[in-house]
Amino acid sequence: MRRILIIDDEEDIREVAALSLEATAGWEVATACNGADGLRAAANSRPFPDAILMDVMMPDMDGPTTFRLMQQNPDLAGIPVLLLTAKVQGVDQRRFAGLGVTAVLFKPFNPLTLAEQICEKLGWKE
Amino acid sequence: MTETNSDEKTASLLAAMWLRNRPLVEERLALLDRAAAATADGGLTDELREEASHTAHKLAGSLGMYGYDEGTRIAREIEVLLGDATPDAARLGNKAAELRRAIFPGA
Amino acid sequence: MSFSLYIFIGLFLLCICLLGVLALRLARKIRQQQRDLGGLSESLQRSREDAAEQKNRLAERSDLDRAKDEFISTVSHELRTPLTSIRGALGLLSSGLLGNVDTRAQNLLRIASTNTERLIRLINDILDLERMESGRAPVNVRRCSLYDLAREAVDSMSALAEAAQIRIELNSYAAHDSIYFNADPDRILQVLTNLLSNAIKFSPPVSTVSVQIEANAEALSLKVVDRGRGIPADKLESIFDRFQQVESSDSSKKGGTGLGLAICRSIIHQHGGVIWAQPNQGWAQANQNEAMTKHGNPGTTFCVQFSRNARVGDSILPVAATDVTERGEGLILVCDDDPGIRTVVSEQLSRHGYDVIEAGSGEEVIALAREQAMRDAPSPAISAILLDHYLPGLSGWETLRQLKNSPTTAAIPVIVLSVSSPSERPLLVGEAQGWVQKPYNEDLLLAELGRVLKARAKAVKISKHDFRTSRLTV
Repeated sequence: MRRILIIDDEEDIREVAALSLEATAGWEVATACNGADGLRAAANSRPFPDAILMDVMMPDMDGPTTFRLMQQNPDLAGIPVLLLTAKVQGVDQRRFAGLGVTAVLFKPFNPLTLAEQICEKLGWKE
Repeated sequence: MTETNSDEKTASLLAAMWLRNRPLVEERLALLDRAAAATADGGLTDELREEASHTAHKLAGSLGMYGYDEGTRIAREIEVLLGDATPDAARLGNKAAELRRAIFPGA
Repeated sequence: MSFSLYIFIGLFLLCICLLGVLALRLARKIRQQQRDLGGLSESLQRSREDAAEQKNRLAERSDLDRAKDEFISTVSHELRTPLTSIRGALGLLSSGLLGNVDTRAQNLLRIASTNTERLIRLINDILDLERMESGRAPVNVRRCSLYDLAREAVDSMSALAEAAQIRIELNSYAAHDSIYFNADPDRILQVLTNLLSNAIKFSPPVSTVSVQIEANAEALSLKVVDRGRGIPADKLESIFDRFQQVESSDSSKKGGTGLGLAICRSIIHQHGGVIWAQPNQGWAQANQNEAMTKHGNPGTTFCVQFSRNARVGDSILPVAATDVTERGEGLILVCDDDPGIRTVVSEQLSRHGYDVIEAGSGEEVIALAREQAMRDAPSPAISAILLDHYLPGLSGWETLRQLKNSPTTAAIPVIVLSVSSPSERPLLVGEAQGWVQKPYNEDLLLAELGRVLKARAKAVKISKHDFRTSRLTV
């Protein structure tokens, strides 16, 4: 049973993603609605989340910035991060590759297969 | 519990969520309509254009989640259109209407 | 002549006046005394009346008890009879046998019939509870298998579970013969079915309700775990009271009577057992702060535990974990390597009347136990040891073994405190006199300690008279 932290400023994305992971995979899901809260939530939780699903475009602190800050915290640096982004921005894909995130997932995602996709990208068996 | 059963349940829960988020979608569509109208009038401000572009982006990112893949496609086209400083008013208007029909057919 | 006459008349009049005044005064005094006397007799009268009333009241009480019993039997008949007719009539109407019923009427009939069923269930529950608590419900004790009863309960709930898209799993972590105990199977089944029904009602769709059975030498337990919305901490005790429901608007839709858990508690208490609810500590719940929102439901676990030493029907309301009022007595040695836990446990025990000494390691425990045992009688010997199982250095297991192998310390009862359940540590279980699983319920800890000390006192008394046994029975 995995523990996932979802960081996204949009409420319906948070809710659908959480619902999807809970109902199809039975994982435990927590959410945060911006980068700063997400950082705090991740750093203070025990045990730490098994993975973090994070939106790229957020007000104040965007995904890549939040990710860089996470890397500076030794507790969080090892947690796999999947960035959630819209497919279109081809240019931005290169930006993400340079960051060092574990994987990139595209919006809109299929709620019925989200858990499966995450497992595939992270090499989890279930 | 078989997989199809779990999928069915998730799907019906999603449907419930869609119903709940409908007002938000309506709001976003209304904004796009306003932007299209403003463009036709020649009164599209940069502010409104950017807001509409973000809104189209958000719709693109979420409609597919609820099963409206067509909606995602059209919303993306709208986002691209709004990227232009002076968008094509006619096309914008058409696309906005098309988007509404794709999500709320017969409305 | 006339002058002395006048004087004489004057004096005479004066005397009369004085007499008059005196008479008046006397009269007043007499009246006052009469009033006092009156008051006195009034209060005498009142106290006589009070005494008579008291006598009447006592007589009334036993009359009241009798009347209450009669009332219950009467109600049982008088309330149910009309309801049976109503139910029958509604059934006939809605079946359409008496003519077509349009959809609106059909809907109304459905409402009437649902509420009739609810009323019937409510009356049954009230009477059930009343009979059990007044001791008038007969208890048929037999040798039962908790696993078989659980299996039966799960099977009876399978249709309901399937309709709600809920999976029920039943697992026994107990050795085959340790699941047998003395109980009234129908009553236990009633409890299990009720707990399962609640779990299903309050679980979200596509989730699992898990039933787990565990056993050790001292106790047999069953847990029902759901992944529902959970019960607020301040309601965890009160849900077992009568007519308590977690969210009345929610439950009334689900058709609860509010008495189910009260009845369960009554039954379990009659069996000398304990029933309680505890929230499952989900990850998100444990870490929740303003930054993080939890999703999903960690749920609740309902636990039922039967002590093997209790006899069924001994008392209507035996000492359960929830009403430990007896003060404790004795010197308790508490061992845990976590100073926080030591402090908390010591505090709980002291508040209850025990004296406490603390040890932070297995070695310390053995040293202290030996030291106490070697002292002369006047100094208090250790009454019991609370031993954390997971210790640095000398392990809990090793410590326990050494305590039991040494004649000076073998007699001291040991209660193991462990995050594991007794079924996971069968080796340890055999040597220990009690087991409390962490995180523990304070009342349960006190109850377990009380039980172990009582058992020891009994054993010591017995062995003192039995010269033939060479060992102290512990």
